[in-house]
Amino acid sequence: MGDFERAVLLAVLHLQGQGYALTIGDEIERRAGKAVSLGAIYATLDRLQRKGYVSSKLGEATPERGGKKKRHYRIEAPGERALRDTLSVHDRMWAGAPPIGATA
Amino acid sequence: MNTGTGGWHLSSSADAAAQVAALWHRRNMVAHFAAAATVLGSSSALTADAIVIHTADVVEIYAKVQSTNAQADEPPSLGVGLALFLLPANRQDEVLGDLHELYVTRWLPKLGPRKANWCYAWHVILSSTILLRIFGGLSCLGGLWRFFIH
Repeated sequence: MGDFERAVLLAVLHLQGQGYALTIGDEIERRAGKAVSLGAIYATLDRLQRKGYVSSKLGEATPERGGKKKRHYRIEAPGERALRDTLSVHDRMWAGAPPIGATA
Repeated sequence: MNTGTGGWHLSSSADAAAQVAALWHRRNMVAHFAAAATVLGSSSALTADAIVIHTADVVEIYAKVQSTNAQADEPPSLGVGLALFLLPANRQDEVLGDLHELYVTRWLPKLGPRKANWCYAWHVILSSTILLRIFGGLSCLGGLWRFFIH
């Protein structure tokens, strides 16, 4: 899983099934301080959905959306497993590493 | 027409008409006319000659300004048409809704109508390009049909 996929998956996790492309982008921007394009989020969500990491369902239509529906994304068990694996690989790689800057 | 303490006072018919004409298309007039309508609604507090636009007229003006603003808040029809033409049919609701929300709540207040329209069109193209790459095909014919019957 790439960095951006992980960021999107974590944002979906944070939003607890209420996230849609726009709020997922906001969540990444808020937490990572990086602006992301809506198109990149659609592409990544689509990829994650095809992997079975997330599921989606159409939500309610609201006036500020011109009567269009939202598509809410929720993390699924394979997605949670993938995140856990990533985290444990991350932890194992960091374990025992010297402090950054100490090798210079 | 000027703001007094606690509301709007219409000083003379000519003055009010001139100002209404000058400010007709200004977006913030909804609030102003709403305030005027409120003042005129409680007309017992005003002297008769201070009321130069009747309540019914103000209500009518208010409705017109409101409908003008409602149209101004709509994303550009060319951009929406482009989206309907380019986007895969099963993603149109979602993407158009997201773009609409961005347009109304962020781009329009921050950038103004002209830049917001460009921004909308740019994001339509960007999102369409990515989604078309994923779905690997053009939904243009279906999109075109939907655009014309929309």
